[in-house]
Amino acid sequence: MIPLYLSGPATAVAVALHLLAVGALAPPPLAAQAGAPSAPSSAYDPAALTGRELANPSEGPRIVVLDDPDSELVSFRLSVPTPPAIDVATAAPILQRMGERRMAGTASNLGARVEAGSTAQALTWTVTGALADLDHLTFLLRQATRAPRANEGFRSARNAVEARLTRLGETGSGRLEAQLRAEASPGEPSVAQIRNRIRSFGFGDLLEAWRATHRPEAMTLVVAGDVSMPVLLAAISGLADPGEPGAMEAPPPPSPPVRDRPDILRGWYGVAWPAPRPLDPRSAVAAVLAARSLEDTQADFEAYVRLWEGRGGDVLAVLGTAYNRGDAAMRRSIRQLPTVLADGLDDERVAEVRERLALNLLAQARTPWGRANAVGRFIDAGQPLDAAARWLDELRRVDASALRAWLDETAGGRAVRAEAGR
Amino acid sequence: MRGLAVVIAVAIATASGAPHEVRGQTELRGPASPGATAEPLVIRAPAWAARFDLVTRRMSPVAGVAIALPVGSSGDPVGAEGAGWVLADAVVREVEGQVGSGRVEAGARVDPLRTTFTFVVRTEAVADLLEAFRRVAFEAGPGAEAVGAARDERIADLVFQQDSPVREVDRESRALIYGSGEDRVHAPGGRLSSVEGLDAAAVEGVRRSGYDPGAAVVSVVGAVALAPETRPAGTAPADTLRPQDPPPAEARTLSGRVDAPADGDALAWTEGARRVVEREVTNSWIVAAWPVPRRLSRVAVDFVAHRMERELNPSPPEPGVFSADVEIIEMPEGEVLVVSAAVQPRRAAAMESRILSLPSQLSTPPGRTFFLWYRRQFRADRLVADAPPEAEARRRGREILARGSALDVAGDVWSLTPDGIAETAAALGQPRVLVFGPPRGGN
Repeated sequence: MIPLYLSGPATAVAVALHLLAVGALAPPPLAAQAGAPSAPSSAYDPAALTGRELANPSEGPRIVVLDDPDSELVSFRLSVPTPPAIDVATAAPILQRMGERRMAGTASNLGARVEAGSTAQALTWTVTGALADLDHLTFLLRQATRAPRANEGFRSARNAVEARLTRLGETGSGRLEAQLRAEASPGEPSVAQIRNRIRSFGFGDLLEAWRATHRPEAMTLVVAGDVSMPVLLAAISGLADPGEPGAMEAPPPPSPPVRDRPDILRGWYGVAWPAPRPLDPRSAVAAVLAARSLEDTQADFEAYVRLWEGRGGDVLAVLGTAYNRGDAAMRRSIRQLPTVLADGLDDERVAEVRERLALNLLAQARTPWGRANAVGRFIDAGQPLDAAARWLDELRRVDASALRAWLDETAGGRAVRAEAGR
Repeated sequence: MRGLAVVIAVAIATASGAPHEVRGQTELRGPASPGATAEPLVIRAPAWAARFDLVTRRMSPVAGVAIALPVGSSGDPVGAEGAGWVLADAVVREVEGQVGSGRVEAGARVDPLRTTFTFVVRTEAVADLLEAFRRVAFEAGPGAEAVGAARDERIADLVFQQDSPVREVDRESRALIYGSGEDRVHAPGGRLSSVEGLDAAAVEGVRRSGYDPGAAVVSVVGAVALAPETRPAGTAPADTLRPQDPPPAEARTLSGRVDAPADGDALAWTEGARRVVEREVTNSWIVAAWPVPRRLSRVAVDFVAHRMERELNPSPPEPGVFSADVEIIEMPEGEVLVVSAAVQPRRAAAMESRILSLPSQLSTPPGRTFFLWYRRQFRADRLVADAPPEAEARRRGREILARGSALDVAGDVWSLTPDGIAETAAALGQPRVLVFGPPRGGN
């Protein structure tokens, strides 16, 4: 898993959870007046979130199409799998930064939109522009995926990643989140491990990681638009071009180890519960309800919720901070949260959150690039081409009873605890 | 094979240095694909709207809806500045509550002369949304709870913004563009003392005097289609527009007046001006505004604005330049093209000179290669900007309100020519300039 603290934009669900928790997406609901609309029946077309696979006769990526007849825009989302056996936790963010820099000038000249991201399973490149510029857009993908060169800003990219990791270590929330994620997802590197590796990470290491991951036949291309297959096949040849080897520079001297002096004024405490299944809509509903429950109970402490998507499954984490006087109440509230949540569930509250999450996903998919990302995220996780549509269907069936069962299973399983600042 | 032939032709043309344009994109498109499995949801044009505009996007999982009204903060009573802002926010809250927060996200923007509501809504809730808006905006008004919450949030924002130099910059900018009349110059969101003093009666008064369904433009973009033989009750068929329909001969515009043929060379002002405001602040701001003759093609003016923005925002960005934006503002006196830049004080003189030289620079026809490149870039930029359905709905609603019709972004650009662009840039009127920041001699 590429740690999300190193990756690009969070998934729609993760962002939505944060915004829902702070109420930024909707003002407090007002009482419905007479003549309120009846129970919603959906007019959304599942085809909007269902891919159609096209046979690719060449040794190229798997191609999944999201039809959009007569659209003037086209989005390409190319995902490069990052298998767990390969150390990409250090290489992936560097490859992203260097690739973004390569694409920036051409994208700006085209009026195209580009985005580098990642999921738990892959690096992603999403390029959007006018259909008339199809060849130039696929050129951008070739630019993004070709072999990096040492003189293309490797050192500054590496230094930027190291600086970001250092910033994580300077704050209570950063340290606690990193610690919880490492313990909740065994087998994936911790922040401390990544920081140690990146201090001596050379360009040769980067090239080795690139070679191990950038194989066109392993990639998946999601196309949202209205594109002729022969034209598309011709345009996407040449991905992951190894290019000329170029001069190999000597590895940089390792950065000196830095003794962390985190600036922590309050104690931090957190608990993480690995959920039984990845990309489970019940996890998302539970996380939002948990965040709202915490808002109602916070007195002498602050607490918040995170939902992390990992290779092996989702992780629901609750983190808090308090001075001494609020410490006991904070720990109690966090540990008891699943029980409190289960006791307070009712179908009406669950339905309201369910509807908001559904709207969030549909709203994300209202642009070609959003649609490609919404569907591609599930494909990266090895799920079927209609998994995004099924996720919505499953979400609609989540009620208080289903959520209680999820809470029983999750809270009854392995819980991970961590502290920082004491 | 035909598709491959096109690709090869493009590559050859490019390699030869001769630009190749793919104007008709038939060759790039796939065969009639399975596409959407469901038909668009059929809706009726709301009977209360003066103008209704609809664009069908079959695969859009949600709809974008925009409602534009030709009333803005200039309609706030004296002493109750910010009433329109609070009203718009209260309408948003009330409508969201009635439709359901799980079915709609809403926002509003209040300008001196216009208020625009924008919604992202589940497709099946479009009709409910339009009905809820009608009730709240034009009939019952928002409830006291919504008004109170909107007012309290505005007060919190104003407290946070107190003493920010940006408020003074914005006010000076409005004075530059709209003239010195206080009704248009005061901050659309009011000031702390005026909003604190707002009561429900003042907000309701703004709604009753300013919110007129007979002037509302409704624009919908999504997996929806217009019911056949539907039109607002009591109005002529031409008031129900489809994108391909030409605008009616007498179209309401932002002024609310019937847009009778006017002097094509009329300008919002004829004499330029330069105003310097010295303040001990850390940034400098430069605002330059040019009046636009009515006769100019809107797509050409839009293109010139886009070129200006591109010239001021190179890739990689210039050091010392924090932001540079270009927009076109509509008002009864005419349209105005406005450039606003925030820079480090030591860059202010050079940036002012650069901004003011842009019309002259653009009034020389670009070479063909560059023109074709710029035109494709402009088209792509605008298509991407219009990708969210609510963004396209908002743009179309505002354009129809201002001018009676909306641009067809994908198609209208092909009418642009190098000479036409040059003539457009050369035709801009005398600029008004604001320079705000530390004294230049001290930099």
